[in-house]
Order: sequence, then C-alpha cells, then structure tokens
Amino acid sequence: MAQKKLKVLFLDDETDFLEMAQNVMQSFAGDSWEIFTARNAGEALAIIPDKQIDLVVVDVHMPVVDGMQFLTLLNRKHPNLIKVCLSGGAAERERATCLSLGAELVLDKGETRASWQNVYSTLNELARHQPEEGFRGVLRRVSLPDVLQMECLSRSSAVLEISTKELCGHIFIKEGQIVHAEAAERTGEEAFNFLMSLAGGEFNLKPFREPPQRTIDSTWEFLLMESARKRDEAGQAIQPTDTEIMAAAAREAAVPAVDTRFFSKPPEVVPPQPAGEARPDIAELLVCSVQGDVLYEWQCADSNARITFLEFLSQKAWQVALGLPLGQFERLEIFSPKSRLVAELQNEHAVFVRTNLVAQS
Amino acid sequence: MQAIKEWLSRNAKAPGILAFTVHFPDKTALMQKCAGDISSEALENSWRCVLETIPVLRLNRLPMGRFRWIYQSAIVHCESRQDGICLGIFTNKNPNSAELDRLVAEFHAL
Repeated sequence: MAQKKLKVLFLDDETDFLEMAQNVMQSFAGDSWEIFTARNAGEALAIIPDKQIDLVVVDVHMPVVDGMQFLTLLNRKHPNLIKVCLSGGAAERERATCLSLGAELVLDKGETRASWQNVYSTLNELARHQPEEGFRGVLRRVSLPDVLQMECLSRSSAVLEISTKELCGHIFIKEGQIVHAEAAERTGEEAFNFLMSLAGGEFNLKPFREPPQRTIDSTWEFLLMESARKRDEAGQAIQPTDTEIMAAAAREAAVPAVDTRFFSKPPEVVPPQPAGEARPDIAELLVCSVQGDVLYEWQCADSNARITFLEFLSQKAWQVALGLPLGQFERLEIFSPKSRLVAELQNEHAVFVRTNLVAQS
Repeated sequence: MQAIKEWLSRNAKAPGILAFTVHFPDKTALMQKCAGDISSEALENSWRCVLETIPVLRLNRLPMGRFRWIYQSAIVHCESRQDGICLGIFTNKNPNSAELDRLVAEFHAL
C-alpha cells in the first residue's frame, strides 16, 4: 500500500529561507512530502486546517508572534499536530521553552546539504511514527481571549456566542476583524468589554452571519489589550483560571487530600527512607485529566506550568522508548538530596507530586 | 573519556543491563549496547530525548538529580557528575539494586 503523503508546513518570516528549505526538503522527500510555507502566524493558522497539515516546522525567532507564542496557540487549537522548532542557534533556555511548549524537537537550521539531510530524516521519522493513543496532545481549556486571538490571527469569520445564566452575548468576527458585539442593551466596544469581563459562563463558536450593524472599528489587538487593561484596573479576572475553577470545584466536592482513585496502585512518591534521616513532606500535588483539566491540586502555585510539563513528559516518554523494548511509560522519578518528584502518566490522567525531605527531629 | 570507555566495556555483561550511554559536556557521547535487540540509532535517539529533559526541568525549577524513567518492561536511569558528565543506564524492570549502586558509585569515582 502506498504511504500517505506527508503534509509539512514551514513557518519562517524569511522568504529566502522558506524557498531554500522547500527546495532542499522536496529534493530529499520526492513525492512523499507535500510542502507548504507561511511567512507569519496568520498565514500558518489558515493553511493548517485548510491543507490538513501533519507537521509544522516553526522558526523560533519571528517578529510579532514568535515561535514560542505560536506553539502556545497551536497547542490550544491543534493539540495533535506535530510541532518542531527550527533555529539558527537557540539558547538553552529557548530550546527548553520550545520543548516544554510542545515542540517535539528543536533542530538547528542546516548549514550544509548533509545537515539538511539530517533534518529531513529526523522530521520524516518523527512524522511517520506517532503514537495513536496515550497521554499526549492534551487539549487545554481555552480562554475567551485565546479563541478570539486564534480566530483573528487565522482571519476567520465566525460569531462567538457567550452565555451565562443571566444573558447571552455575541461577538462578530469577519475576516479576522471584530466588527460588532452585543450583550443585552450594550453594543459595540462597551458590549465587547463587558463580555470579556465576565467571570464565568460558556462560549461557543458559531458559523458567521452578518451582524445587524457594524459597531466596532478598532483592531482586535487593541480591543484585546484594552479589555485586559480594564480587567486589571477593575482588579478582577476575565475568567477564573483553570486552577481556580477546578480547585474550587474540588474543594466543594470535598475531594480527599490524596485521592487514591487516581492511581492504579499506591503512588511510589519516594523510596523508603532510613529511620532518623528525613521524611518526605508533600510540597505540591496535581492530578489532571487527559484533556488537561485539573482534577485535583494542592499547593500547586502554577498548575498550568505543571500540566505543560506533563505534556512535555508524555511526548518525551514516547520518544525515549521509540524503537526500544521498554514498553509503555509509567512514570518519571527524580531524586535530589532535598526533594523528590514523581510524574506519572496514565491513559486517563496524569499525576505530579513533589515532596521535600524534612529532617527528622 | 578513555577511562569511561574502558569502564563501559568492563561492565558490558553486568546482569540486567540493556545498555549504557554517556554524555560529555562537549556534547560527545559514548554508547555500549549490552542486549542484542537494541539498535544504535534507537539508543542514540532515546538518550538525546532523556538529555532534553534536563533543561526543561531547570526551566521549571524542578529538582535535579538522579532520574528514573520507569517503563512497563525497563527503566532508564540517569546520573550526573559534578563535571557535567551524564551516565544513562538502561536496565530491565527489576535490576539488581546492589549492582546498580556499584555501577553508579564507580562512575562517580572514575
């Protein structure tokens, strides 16, 4: 059976580089790859669903929306898409950030034909051997500003319906511009800012329909910044964060401190410690679903960062085992003199536990 | 590097060990396969992925130290020395812990 043609998108702000990458990669791939290029995030976001892209290769350094911001957007809108960063010498911190934001690899831009051949082989292997299941491609709870940003960047037309128990409002997006908003008696920017300031509720993207009138002329970037500024001034969040929502829900449900339902067997947080030396003291704990929802958290200062780490781990764990007889990944354990960390991945959820070792008195 | 190379060869038949990998601060690496069903390419890729975890841990301010990647049928142990040399030991699921401790202690003493 013929192998499916891989659809690969290169995103880079340098046209010359895109042309060269397309030519070189096509010469290696022949008919097995279909290569697309985009010069900015907006173009890329339009091409990805349209051409059903399998693999995106993103330049780390780009103006306006850089590679790292773009990875964040992709994670939210296309969590199962394979993402690779290409860089002309990224610093270690940048590489780490890209990896932790869901890039499967960070590769250096080739300088010779041989090094491009290496880049091609790596990308091809990566795209051809993807796991079909497991804890990866976590779909995060997307916030209202995220959705607006993505729709505008991809120059979409849609109607964003926002509803609470009390009201139902709409934001009309036409070809990437916010053209009208309405919420009860309010219209225009007043309605937009009101809808963006709601602390709860649901939102859905509906097919575009012409608004009854055009009440907004400002750019979407200005509108989002302005609504964020107003939120800051009001001292209230646009929406409670995932952590706040789920932590509150967990408190209401009176979930026990460590719910053993989430573990297939008791968690092996630390190996037994010799008596009199140190005892483990749980410093933070997070349990999240495969969708990235926090099911339980305790003393977790940044749940989002922990979920991002678990996503990263799920990718890496699969890559570590690629071609080796290791079996399914269970957990990562890290032992340092003062603390321990266990990150466990299961089919339905993931667990992150960090403990500090406290000297026994 | 030579001392580590010799040490790897000496321990190639240690019980329960599938492979050794070593990473040096100059980004060179050594590999020693101890089980026949492991390809060099897969081992190299696997070790690179293990090493990629280190900067991400640092970025997240998570503890750094001895790692264990635990899989259904095997464990990947990762141990770092003060001089930046990193040792990876791929073992079966139930390695002889005394043997593992000996290997780690010898690696630190080399």
